[in-house]
Amino acid sequence: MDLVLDINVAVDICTKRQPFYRDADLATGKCLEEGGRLWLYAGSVQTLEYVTRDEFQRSFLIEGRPLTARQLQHHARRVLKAFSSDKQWLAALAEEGSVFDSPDPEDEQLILSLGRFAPGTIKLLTRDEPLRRRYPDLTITPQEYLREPMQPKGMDFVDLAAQQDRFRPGLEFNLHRVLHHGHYILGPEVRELEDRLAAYTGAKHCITVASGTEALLISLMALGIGPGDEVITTPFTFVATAEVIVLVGATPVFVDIEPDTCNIDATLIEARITAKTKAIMPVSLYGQPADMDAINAIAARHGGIPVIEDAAQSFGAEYKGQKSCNLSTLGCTSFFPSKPLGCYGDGGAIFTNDDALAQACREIRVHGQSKRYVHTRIGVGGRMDTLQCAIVLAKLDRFDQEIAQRQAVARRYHELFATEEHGSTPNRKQRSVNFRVLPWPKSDRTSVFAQYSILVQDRDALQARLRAAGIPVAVHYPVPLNEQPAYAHLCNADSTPVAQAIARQVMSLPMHPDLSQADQGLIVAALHVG
Amino acid sequence: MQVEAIYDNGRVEFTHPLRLRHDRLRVLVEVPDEEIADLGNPYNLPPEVLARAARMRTHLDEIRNAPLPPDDELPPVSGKILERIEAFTLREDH
Repeated sequence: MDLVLDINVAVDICTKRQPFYRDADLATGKCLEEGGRLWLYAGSVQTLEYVTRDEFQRSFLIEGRPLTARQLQHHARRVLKAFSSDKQWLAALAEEGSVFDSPDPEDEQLILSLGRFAPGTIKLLTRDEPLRRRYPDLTITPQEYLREPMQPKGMDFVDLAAQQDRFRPGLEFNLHRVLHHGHYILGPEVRELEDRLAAYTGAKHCITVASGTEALLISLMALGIGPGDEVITTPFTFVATAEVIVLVGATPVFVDIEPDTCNIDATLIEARITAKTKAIMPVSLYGQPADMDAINAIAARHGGIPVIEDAAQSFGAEYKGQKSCNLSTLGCTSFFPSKPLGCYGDGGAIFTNDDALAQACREIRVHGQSKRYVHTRIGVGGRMDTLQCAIVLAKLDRFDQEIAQRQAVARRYHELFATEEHGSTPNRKQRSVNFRVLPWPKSDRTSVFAQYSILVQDRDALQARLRAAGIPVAVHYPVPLNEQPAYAHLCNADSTPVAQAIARQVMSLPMHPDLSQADQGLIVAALHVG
Repeated sequence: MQVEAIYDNGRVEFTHPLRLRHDRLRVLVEVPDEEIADLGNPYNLPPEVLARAARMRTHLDEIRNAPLPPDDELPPVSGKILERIEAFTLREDH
């Protein structure tokens, strides 16, 4: 549960007010230890400063060393600055403005602000007894809170809330800016994001689109791929990769994967190229680019077949010093919320250095329109809206840092597993290792670790056990596409034995930049049979 | 007003007698921090909570106890801010 700190509690802590500050200290410590957040209402800043200042003035007077007005201001502000540094600012919204009919407008504002949260997920921590009596379900005193049993800290597969805590000020600013200028479709944030993403990848063009799936679909449409054509791809991917090929009327040709990277095996591609092959679509799975040089070389040898990198999971990764999405004819990514760079809905982008393809993609995403009401080609309604672009923009400045955090988390998993596998303590010898770790990314590329996946035996039972222990897990992906009912007729599953075997064993562990060492330790320990 | 008092086994007594209008009234008493006995762990909180609260307290105390710069080294408090302080004083709601 989160807590909004009422002024009296905040001042107790800041000024060490006797006898209240001890319980207030413990209550805030308990909240954070349970995984909750501490909020300060932005609309109360002035009152907070004044009351803190006044309390300091009183206590310094009692100590017999009165402060000047300047010193008081300096002291109150430096303490408040330190105090607020690990708290979340709860923005004052317009809904909380008109409180003039209330007997206590400030309290009214605080209570109204709680309405933004799901019921039962937040309370106002206060010593104000009348307020406590008036709103018994929304308020709690430090003592009452401390008497409540500790709530176990939950573990998230992807912790978007912790990420949002870091971005909230910029995020709220960007969202409000869009609400005020009102250009919800192709507004200035769309172009700004496209420029910044193009610069980030080094690609000449970036075209934002409605989703990662839409990015793949528009890319195929821009290449003119249609009925009778074949597109070579991997069966070990999310269904969107093959779905779009079928949607344009072409046929997916599935090629098996490498057992170490789970990406398409470039050495097997050439044997599947025919006169009908119009594109190769590798997927940079789990965040690690496929062997793009090898794939591009094969494509070049066969008359320059276009290569579309499905980089839905790998935006930000590098291959031989170049960014994923700028490794082939076209690169497509997704901003699905759980992706390393995600928005708060659907979004995606296409990258290319080809001017004509970029123009085609831009037109196709707006119903094939070259200028207003002139439709020169068949298109779709495939734009990424301005609000979603504004969200990605807020996250972009810190994206590289988050990638580094993800890589550190992955490295820690790797080291913990290495310890477990090679450890020599008696306990470890008795344990049976029922999983295998995929190798660290190859030395010529990096991974953004959209997923951290391992191979396990008896996956269903293991998943059930981990979930019972409060550890969320997922499977990416349980069935190769050539075993899915809608695609099975295209390719015998036995012809992709590696994908078949890995799909039966693969399991993804919690992975996000804020995953703690302690949680990783619990996960690794839980993976071992008791 | 502030007056001196002595605490003695649960009773607080003014060092200089005062004539008060009421027999019973609420007063605020400043107790020196060093006189507060360690209350232990009255809420039976896990050690992680106690440790986190202690870390937060230590950090804030470092800021709170840092020496203050001399008055003339600090920027002036503007007339506007002083007016606001006066306005807040009138509210007496803390």
